Amino acid sequence: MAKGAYPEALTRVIRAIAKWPGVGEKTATRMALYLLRAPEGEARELVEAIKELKEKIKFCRRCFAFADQELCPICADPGRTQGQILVVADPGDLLPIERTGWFSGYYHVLGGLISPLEGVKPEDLRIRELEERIKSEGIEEVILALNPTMEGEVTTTYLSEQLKPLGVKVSRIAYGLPMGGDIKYIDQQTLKEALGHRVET
Amino acid sequence: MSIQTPAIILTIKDIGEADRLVTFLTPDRGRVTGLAKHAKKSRKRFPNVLEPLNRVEFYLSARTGGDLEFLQKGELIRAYSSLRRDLPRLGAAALLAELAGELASPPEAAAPIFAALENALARLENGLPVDSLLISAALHLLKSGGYGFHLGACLACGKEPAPPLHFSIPRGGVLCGACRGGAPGPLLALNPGAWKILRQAQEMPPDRLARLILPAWQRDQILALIRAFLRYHLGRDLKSWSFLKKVSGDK
Ligand SMILES: [Zn+2]
Ligand SMILES: [Zn+2]
Repeated sequence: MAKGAYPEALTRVIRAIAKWPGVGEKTATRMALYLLRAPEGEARELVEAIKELKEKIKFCRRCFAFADQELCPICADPGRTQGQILVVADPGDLLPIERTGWFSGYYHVLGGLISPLEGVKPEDLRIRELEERIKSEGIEEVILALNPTMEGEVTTTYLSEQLKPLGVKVSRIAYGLPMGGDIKYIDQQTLKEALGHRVET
Repeated sequence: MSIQTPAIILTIKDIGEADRLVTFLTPDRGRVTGLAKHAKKSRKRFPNVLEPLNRVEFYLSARTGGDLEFLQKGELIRAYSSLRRDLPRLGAAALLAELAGELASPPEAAAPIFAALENALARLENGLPVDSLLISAALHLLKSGGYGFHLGACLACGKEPAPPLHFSIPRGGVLCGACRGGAPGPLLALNPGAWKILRQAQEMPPDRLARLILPAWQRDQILALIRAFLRYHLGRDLKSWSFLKKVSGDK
């Protein structure tokens, strides 16, 4: 950015927006200029919304998805199918799967994937919490919906070996997904098929 | 213009929404870090390529950004994907890859290190016993990197070492109990059986490794020795130890 081209207050907003995913400095400048011209109320609403986001959103104490209460909306819903847990790596993987409408049970968010070369160990993930839930919630089937990457497959192997002795059926989504693919970017139809054609591990 | 190079991928990090930062081992340049622009969403230039431990061919841009290379495209040569369903083997593969990356930077001895890692990954997939394979491949990599262990004769008196045996971490060799006095430490006690296994693992041709069977306690003692040696000489622990320890149970 040309130094001193804009007053500091404006540059500060541009710098902050330019950090967002997929936003370059040009787009950030356009957005900041929009905010500057926007009605007072609109800018205030954004400030309030961001404040509330940071204050209120935390992790669900049962499944570790995003929540604004003790439990996320899914865990708080008693009408969902009991006995099934679908395991994802990140909170961001949950939404595309929920959108397919295929799954009606409860979720569990691991908080990452095992990565031997990065030093991410099983203990760094919420695996112990998953085991506790399997025991206490009368779970019969665990479906692993992890990305078809090296880390995803290693985590699938590890979980399958750990969970089967607990007496649950462990299945994983079919690897019809492209190798190295990301659940967040896969189209709904492909994702639905991968979920439907899951295989027992 | 681009430069083609064989590569074994070590780690991949996402940069922002679109780009990926790839660290990989090459025979000519040692350990290299390269930026794969737009590789996250469009995988056309890197079909099934960007996964740790994959053996690939990379095409690097002739233009470099200092220490950073630019990856134009890549082709998969071999994925070693069966290792993902056998965690002790995967743990061994990860440790050997990380070790090879450390030894190949700076890149003087990168070519034999690259070849040794590629061979070890193939053998891990082909079902040789994982413990003896891991130990022999680690010693082989260390030797290629200039850290070969001195196991045949006592470092101090030059004779066949007499028990109780010790291993000098700074010098990477064995000592008689009687000779350990003036030797530079730290020293580790070395069980005679473990010493024999180490010698065999370092000298035996890889196609005969299947005959080298060792109990879990002996494997653990040898791995602890290699780990202490690496921590001393690299100044830190390799990241892959924790996973390997977690998945290599008693047999
Ligand atoms: Zn929840
Ligand atoms: Zn001696």
